[in-house]
Amino acid sequence: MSYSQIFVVTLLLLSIFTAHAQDYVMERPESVGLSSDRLKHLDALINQHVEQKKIAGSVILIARDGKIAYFAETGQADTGKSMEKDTIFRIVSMTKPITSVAVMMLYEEGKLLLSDPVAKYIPEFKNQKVVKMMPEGDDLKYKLVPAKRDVTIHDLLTHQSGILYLASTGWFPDPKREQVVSFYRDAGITDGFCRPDETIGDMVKRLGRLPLYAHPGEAWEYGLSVDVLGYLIEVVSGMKFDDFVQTRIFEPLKMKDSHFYIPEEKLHRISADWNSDWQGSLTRVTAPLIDGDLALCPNDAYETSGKYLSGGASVLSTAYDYFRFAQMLLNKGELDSIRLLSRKTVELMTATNHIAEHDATLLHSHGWKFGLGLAIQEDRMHDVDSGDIGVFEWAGYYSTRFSVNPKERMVTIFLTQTSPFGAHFGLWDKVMVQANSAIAD
Amino acid sequence: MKNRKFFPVILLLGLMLSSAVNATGPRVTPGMLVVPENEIFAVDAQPFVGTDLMNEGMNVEIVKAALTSVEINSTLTILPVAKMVKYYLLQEQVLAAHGQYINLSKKDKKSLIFVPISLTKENYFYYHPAHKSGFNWQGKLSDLSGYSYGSYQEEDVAPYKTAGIQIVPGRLHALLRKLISNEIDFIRMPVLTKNWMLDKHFPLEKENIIAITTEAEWVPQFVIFNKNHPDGEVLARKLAQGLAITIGSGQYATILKKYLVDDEVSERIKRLNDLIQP
Repeated sequence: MSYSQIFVVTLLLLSIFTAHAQDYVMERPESVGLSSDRLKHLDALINQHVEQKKIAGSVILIARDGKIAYFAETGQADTGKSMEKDTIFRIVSMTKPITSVAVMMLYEEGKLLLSDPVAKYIPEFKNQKVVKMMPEGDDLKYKLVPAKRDVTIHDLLTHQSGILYLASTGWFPDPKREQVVSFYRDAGITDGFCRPDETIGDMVKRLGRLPLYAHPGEAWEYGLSVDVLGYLIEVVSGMKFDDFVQTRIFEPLKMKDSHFYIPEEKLHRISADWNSDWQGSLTRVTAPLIDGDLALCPNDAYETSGKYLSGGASVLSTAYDYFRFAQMLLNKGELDSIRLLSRKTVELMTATNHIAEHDATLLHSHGWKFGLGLAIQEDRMHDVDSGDIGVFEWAGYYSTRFSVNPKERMVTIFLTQTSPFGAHFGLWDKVMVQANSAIAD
Repeated sequence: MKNRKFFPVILLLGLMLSSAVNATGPRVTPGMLVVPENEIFAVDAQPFVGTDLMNEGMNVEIVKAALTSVEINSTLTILPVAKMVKYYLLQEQVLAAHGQYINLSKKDKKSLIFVPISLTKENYFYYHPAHKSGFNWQGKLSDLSGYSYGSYQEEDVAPYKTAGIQIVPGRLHALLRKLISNEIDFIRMPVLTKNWMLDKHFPLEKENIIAITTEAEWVPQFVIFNKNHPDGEVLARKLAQGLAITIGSGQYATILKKYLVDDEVSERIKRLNDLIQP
């Protein structure tokens, strides 16, 4: 090879690395008021969990003032494959804030009002019924009573529609929930964690004709409400849901690695899901995880095409991409001079009084409220503390979490892929403590 | 009594106040103000009944045309679950219901009137790649002993259990997937349903879903009226009259021809006439 050829090859290689590096710029933690030394506690925490085989690996990103000060990949993404900064994760319920932003964009465009009945756009939601259990000993087990009012778009955004997840029979068993879910089962409704072989419209139209668990506005019940919003976006925008999100959110925010179905060339970047007993036994999940009404299909993430587009669960993404989405929210609707939402709309989304006296306790604790697609910390007197009143965040089934602290101008993204759900809450909270305690100004 | 003259003013004030309160809440939609007339609850069973279908499907067209011919308006409320339709029929004592697998007991049937509205040709089907030699069907369910049958929710599966057949319940779409993935051995469905479902959901498998039996069974489909509903018996008679009128006028055949090939239409009408006029 001649010198000139070596020069050209070197230039090419340099240009590849430069292009990759340009995706994000790191800042010294001290330059944004964070302590490098204290962030080492976070390294130690994750390394310990990886060494003890509680998790296979993770990617953590912390940014302050829009600048990435900590971006660390640890452990394995898959068998024989190390975790990388650009590893792609099943973010599952972290899809919900994206769907909620899409709805709010249509709201700003005057295409819908939050007070609109869902039935205005999806007629199957007209004249809904609510299950009322009858006292024990009664001839009837239950009655279907007319809903006191229509389910509104606001109800869907705030999980006050009375629509459930089937999996909730495992979280909060009660006869009424079991009755509602039995209708869901008979009607072929699924939680969407395994991608059904039908369109979102097919499923939502059946769901609309099934009874509710509670009268709209009377309970905070985490469920399929955001899947309904995904279909509502299709009806209102006239676009397929994934096309809308791709062109209106992912492309403007340059979220290049966020997808409903993964392109073939990125398949190798998906992290495996790992089953952990949190005692040192860690196995790669190869089959669907079925536990009562909970059905998870981590391997569906490798499907490169399909019909179902879940507004509550389908998106795959990276730490950097989701940081861009979170930073847009922290910036009150804009990023890199691209405005997706107005300041007023983001303020509306993160207001704490949408669910009145209810608390969003499913992933957090009391003292957490739910806005329009996001949980918001309301006080500092309960078990889960993310550092400040006004912090907003949400999480995903395979152990992913994002947190935005408007007061400290900070975004924290923590991504891993660990099952079963629930055992990782402690680690999540420790990551938040480490991130917040690195603040040094 | 003096206060009486103020009553309209108080009423008006009350109405104004209540609408001011409502103005901040969900809006009243036209659908909330419409009281369904002669409501019949039907189980979603495509292509016969379905909200996504043209005119909501063949059976809905038949019922509406028959009742219109005797000057009765009707509303069909289509639900995705047989259990809900059964609930409305037996617990809420609604006027009528329509659906094949509602699983009614002998006691239930005493308070119900069954009006046949059409016939379907049904058959047992299997997935040929999984059972290349087919089944040794001699006309009895016991011929299928040891195999697994994909049943519908609320279907009466007692005859299958008696014949030693394993039962796997589910919705038709899920049952077809299980049939194709060899999780179950056979299912039962109308020939029209088979063609419609395979066209829509499994077009590549059309040649692989094969009838077990050579001769399909004719199965009547009913609208089931409730004797406990004040209009149940009258409307049952009216529907039967209406069916006779639409058959006589050729309207019934016109509806069927939208969904079926010509030679099946006359056969169905003949069989329905035999049922209506024993």
